[in-house]
Amino acid sequence: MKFNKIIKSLFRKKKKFTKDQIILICLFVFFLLNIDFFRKSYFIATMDHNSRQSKIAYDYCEGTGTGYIFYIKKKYNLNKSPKIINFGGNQGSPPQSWIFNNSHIKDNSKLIILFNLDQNNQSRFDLNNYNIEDNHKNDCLYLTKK
Amino acid sequence: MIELLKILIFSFLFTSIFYLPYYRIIISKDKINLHSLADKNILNILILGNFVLILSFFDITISNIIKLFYLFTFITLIFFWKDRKILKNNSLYYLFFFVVFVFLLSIDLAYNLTLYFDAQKFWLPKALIFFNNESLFELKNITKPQYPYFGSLIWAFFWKLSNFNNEYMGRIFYNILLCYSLYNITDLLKVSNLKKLSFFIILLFIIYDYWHIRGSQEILIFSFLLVCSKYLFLFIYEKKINTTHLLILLLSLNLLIWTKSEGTFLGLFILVTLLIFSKINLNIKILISSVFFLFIFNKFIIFDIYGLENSIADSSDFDFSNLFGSIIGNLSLYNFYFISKNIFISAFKFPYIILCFFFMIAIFFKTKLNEKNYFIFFYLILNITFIFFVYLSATPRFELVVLTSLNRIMFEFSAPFLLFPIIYFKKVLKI
Repeated sequence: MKFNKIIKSLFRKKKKFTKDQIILICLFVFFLLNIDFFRKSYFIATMDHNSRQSKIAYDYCEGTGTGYIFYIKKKYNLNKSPKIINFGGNQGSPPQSWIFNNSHIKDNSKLIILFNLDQNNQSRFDLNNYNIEDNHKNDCLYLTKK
Repeated sequence: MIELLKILIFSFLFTSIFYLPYYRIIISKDKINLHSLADKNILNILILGNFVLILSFFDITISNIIKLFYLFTFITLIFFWKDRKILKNNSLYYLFFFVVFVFLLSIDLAYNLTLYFDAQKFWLPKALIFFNNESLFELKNITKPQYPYFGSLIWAFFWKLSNFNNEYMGRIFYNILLCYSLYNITDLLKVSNLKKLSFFIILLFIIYDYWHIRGSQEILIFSFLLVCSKYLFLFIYEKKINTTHLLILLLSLNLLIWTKSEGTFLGLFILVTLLIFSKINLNIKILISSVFFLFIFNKFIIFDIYGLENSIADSSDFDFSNLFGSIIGNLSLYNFYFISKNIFISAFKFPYIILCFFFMIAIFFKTKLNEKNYFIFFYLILNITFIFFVYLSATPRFELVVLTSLNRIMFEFSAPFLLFPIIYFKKVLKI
């Protein structure tokens, strides 16, 4: 008796949806899966904005070095743009001060060097007058003036 | 988790803004029911866009623009409070529907975050000038001061409005504009609302890609052109001429001019198509043309006042002072082949363009050459001619310019091609 009731209620529920509604729901689910909604939501929930910028959006210290700047920004809680010297990775990059949400203000006592090593693994930048605060394989560095 | 919640809240708030009765400034009470919800949403976007743009002409900082926006909203709500009854219950379902889709796209945006090269170099630095409440005069210190700035301005506006430090909050507007303009075009089909929503999801599915929301301005041009296409279709194909729709068209044309340099030309193509193919009264045609040229003149004046370079194209890539010389210099079979090949490749990068061309062929075979369809073929020919004309005038780095920009140009030009499936559905399937 109970089984019959369940079957009947299921059919009743089915009738609540028209063909157009079912198509709409299917399309919605298809779109949801297509943009990979759940995985992306998980990353947004578990990684902060700067980490996503340095790990997902941009390369770390290979193509443009933009990810490394985001990493330094977060690690040292930088608000003003330090001077950025980019010797050029394997991809071109426009000026990167936009990362600090300002186009002019620069903190000249701090310096980010990107792609410091030349083809012979020699340093392109004279590090003598600076303290090395962060060093990624001698290629991407965060420096402060002595 | 907090960031997810913020994205949800701002997706809701930003989408809801366009449900407020700003449109009542243009639509009188007795004519409210003559316009669909899609028309009202689009009109709200255009009113707000033009409102922010016009205030920027007076060098008002973005924080003050936001204060004036709050005041404007408050006054609108007081004056048109009674109109809330007109908003039917199903408007709230639509709002919920769009909030969900804007939220989905915003999740994709907040995950990817990558900005396109041009966005890092030109558009975000411009947006930062506005976001940091700096003067319009500062734009001349940014690379390419000759580029129009509406996209950056509205980016900064929504970014500041969110009171959140992450720039992508401003780009949520790009998603909202895309959703509303796509839904607006589905409004041309005389089918049930559920079918329109299904058609909207299909369009979004085939058109949307994070590539478009990387901070470059093509998505804005595409959306505004899509809005223009709908009303062109109503004026020319359905011969329904309406003052509100003419105003929507003009407001879109103004934003086109202020979004990218080629927006002026695209606006001109829309205007020429309207003038040639619509049965609008001659006086109205003269009026529309005068207003359009006044918009262009206004842009030149504003750029002149603020010391921005007044140029219609990128002076380093195009030589307009010796236009015919450079075109004749570039006129060779190889260059024609190179541009044609890249037009073809670009079309394949966006499958909906190919799909639209299939519908175009189907229309041609099913209905032969119908006078009512001429306008869309005319627009297509104008665009292709323009692409050849522009690239043949690119002097120093012809191949590089074609390779780096043609696919984006094809995307932004392609919005009116979506009229091909609409015409097919209306003419052949009778819906």
